[in-house]
Amino acid sequence: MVRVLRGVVPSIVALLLGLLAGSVLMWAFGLNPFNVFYALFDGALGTRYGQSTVLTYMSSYILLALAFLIPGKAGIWNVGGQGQVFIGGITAALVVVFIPMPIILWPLVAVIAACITGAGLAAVSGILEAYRNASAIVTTIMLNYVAQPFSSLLLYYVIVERVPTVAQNQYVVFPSAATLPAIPFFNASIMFIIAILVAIGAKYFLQRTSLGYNIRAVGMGPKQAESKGINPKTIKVIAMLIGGALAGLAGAGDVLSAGHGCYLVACYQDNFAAGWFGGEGFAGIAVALVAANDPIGAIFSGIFFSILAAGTASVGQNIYVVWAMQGIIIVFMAAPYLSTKVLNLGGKKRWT
Amino acid sequence: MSGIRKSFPGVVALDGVDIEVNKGEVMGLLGENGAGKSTLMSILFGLYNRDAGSIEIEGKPVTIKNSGDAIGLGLGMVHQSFTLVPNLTAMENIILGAEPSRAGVIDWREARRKVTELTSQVGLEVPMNHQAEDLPTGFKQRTEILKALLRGAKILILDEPTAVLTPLESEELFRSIRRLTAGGTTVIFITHKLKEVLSITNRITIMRRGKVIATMETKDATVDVLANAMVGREIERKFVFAEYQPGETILDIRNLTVSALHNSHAVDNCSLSVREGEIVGLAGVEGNGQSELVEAIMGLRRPLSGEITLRGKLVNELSTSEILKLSVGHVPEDRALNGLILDFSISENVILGSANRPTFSQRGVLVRGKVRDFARRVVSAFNVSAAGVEVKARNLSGGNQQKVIVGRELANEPRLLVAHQPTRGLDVASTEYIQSLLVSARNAKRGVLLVSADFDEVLDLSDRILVLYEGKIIGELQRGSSIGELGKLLGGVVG
Repeated sequence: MVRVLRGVVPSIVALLLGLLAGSVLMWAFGLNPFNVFYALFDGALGTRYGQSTVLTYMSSYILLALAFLIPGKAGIWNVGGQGQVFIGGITAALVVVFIPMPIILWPLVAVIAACITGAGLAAVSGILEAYRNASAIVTTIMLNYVAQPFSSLLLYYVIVERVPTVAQNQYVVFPSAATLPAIPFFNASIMFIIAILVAIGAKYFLQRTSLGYNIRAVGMGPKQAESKGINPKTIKVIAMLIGGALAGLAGAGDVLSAGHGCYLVACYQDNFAAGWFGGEGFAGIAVALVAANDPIGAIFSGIFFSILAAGTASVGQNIYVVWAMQGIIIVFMAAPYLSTKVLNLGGKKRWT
Repeated sequence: MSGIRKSFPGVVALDGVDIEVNKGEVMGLLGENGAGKSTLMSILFGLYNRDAGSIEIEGKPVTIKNSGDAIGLGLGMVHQSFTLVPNLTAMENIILGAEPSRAGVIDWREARRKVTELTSQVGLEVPMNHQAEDLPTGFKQRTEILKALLRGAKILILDEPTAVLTPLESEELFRSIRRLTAGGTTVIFITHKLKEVLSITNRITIMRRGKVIATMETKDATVDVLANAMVGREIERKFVFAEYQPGETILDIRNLTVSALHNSHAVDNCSLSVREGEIVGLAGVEGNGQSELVEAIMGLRRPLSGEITLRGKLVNELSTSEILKLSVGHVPEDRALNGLILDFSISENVILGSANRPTFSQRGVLVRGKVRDFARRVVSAFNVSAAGVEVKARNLSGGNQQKVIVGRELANEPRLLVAHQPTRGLDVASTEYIQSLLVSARNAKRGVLLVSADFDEVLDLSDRILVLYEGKIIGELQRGSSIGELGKLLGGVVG
């Protein structure tokens, strides 16, 4: 229990410091911080629409945090969640458009296909780092710039041609048999439940399975692992495959969530949530960092980030102040050393 | 220093320590690892704050809050690991942080004058224009000493200075120390090597478990007296060797050549073999190709040419895990870098490399009970003192870390054990224990390849000694050879 608390305290402290700094910023711009916060949280949690948005964001944030942190445990940086989410999303859409299947099987196959292409894209960077010494940080970022326009091309020239759209081409309408089931009362799919289950599964995987153990061993002691016959290269590639698959899953979730009438166009045109770190893939990194790279922590920090993201819609023109504040919170949270030092809490370095 | 007290979370590192150092003497601070020597000196040098106690220099109480204060008071410290900037020259390193300058520009002429004056005064010569990374270890150390002296050090603290030196370099160091003390410098010499402390110091203070056990004049001390005071019990440095009856050849290396990053042939046309029931000592000063040779045996580095045969099987092209499966145990040279994952617990560390074996996992899931049982077995069979198997390796002492590694390797009853510097940096009791494990492995008919730069160890344990010099095996000695014979070979003198 004490250990759990010790892990959580720096995050809470960082959060409070970030909120405080944000308030000062708002005050400096002549805003009443309480009004802004009220609008923010009321927007996210006070309405059915807001709550649904939180649930939808949450699934992406949690999965993308896992897509970053599982390779991270093996010591490889997957900054390509963004590209992998796009490839996964477009794969799911293509399956739905071209391969009609019976109910249940249809979304299932689409999801699996998305995981495979997401994993494939991530594996490219994994292999380049493991066998050709090309930093995955660089190659994943570069592949984002390939995957994103490539997906848009497919979207506009293949999918939009074949599927009815609504609201001035903002949304693509998929047959409901192909989409993921919605949950009662909310305008959201079961994706967030899947994300939470995956996060719990990831925790179990890392802590209790042989492969998860080997991943952690390679991340914490590549030389030690190698001298005991574990091949760090293979392990890194495997970790990237897993990370990419989870990002692909997030992409499929975006596309197949019936509740949102299939984001697709909105997703690719406006970059899903424009202005929010340039995309959900990068948000996943922030979520993982705030969670101290713990899969269970990622559930909670995913929820928190979803609330912030969903709430921004209702703060009106003050939205830039809120974004600035979110940035500050991330800086504080991603630098636990800084915030613990400020309060002299003696927290330990959390990056593992 | 009197009444010095310092505790770290969970440990009292220093428990009311009083020591006195006279001007111009060499004071030996002797103790096992973890006795508190380095902590005490770090307090003196302002690296740690003390919990209680006082420090006086030349009769005046002083406050030392950081190393800046310490340097200002004429203290200088040379650490075990050097703090030189590798790609600056010796000269640049010496003046670093104390550069004479005019209007923000370094006054090189003045710097050179000062350094030359200093070196001729104390008689420590260093090739000033060589980059620090190219200097031999002995010269690196001298550079560190000069660095401290240039900053006006009157009291020089040397933390285990000979740990990294060859016997010859140690002799040089001792000559330098004598020259320094003749010039009025006071030296505090931290060590756990008995012979050294006897040959260089004027007085000796012995510490054990955070307390001063005894202080004596060196002329009154003997190896036995010191050893007993240091470990607190009689140490019997004799091992029971079963009769030397080597069995079949386990490891056979023929004409092996291995390349390294910097020098083309780290191992040059080496041949050696290890048979069951013998300890083959591979002696050599560090950096003569041992690391590359061991890496080649373990499949961590591909040989350029030659053959490595393990139990009759050619292993040149096999992976590390395939080689380990041929019943090979490996104690790597650097505990923290290659042996244990410090942030893993003991039980996580003992299954490193075996997590996929059915012994520990079922359908890909680790069986916690089996892992824990194995870890407990290693801990109890190999005398690891730890609060439990879930303790992180980081929180173990060096000796216990090494016991975990050796235990992990021996628990699988390997036919061949490759032990690389198995006792480096360990205290006397742990060293002796690890060595006894190697001897009993030999007596149990395992083959042991002992690669070591501790020449007493090689002489004490080995049935046969091979000497590696600049990548070549230049000689073989039998049990009972003298350190003199070994010393000549180590220095590359054949015949």
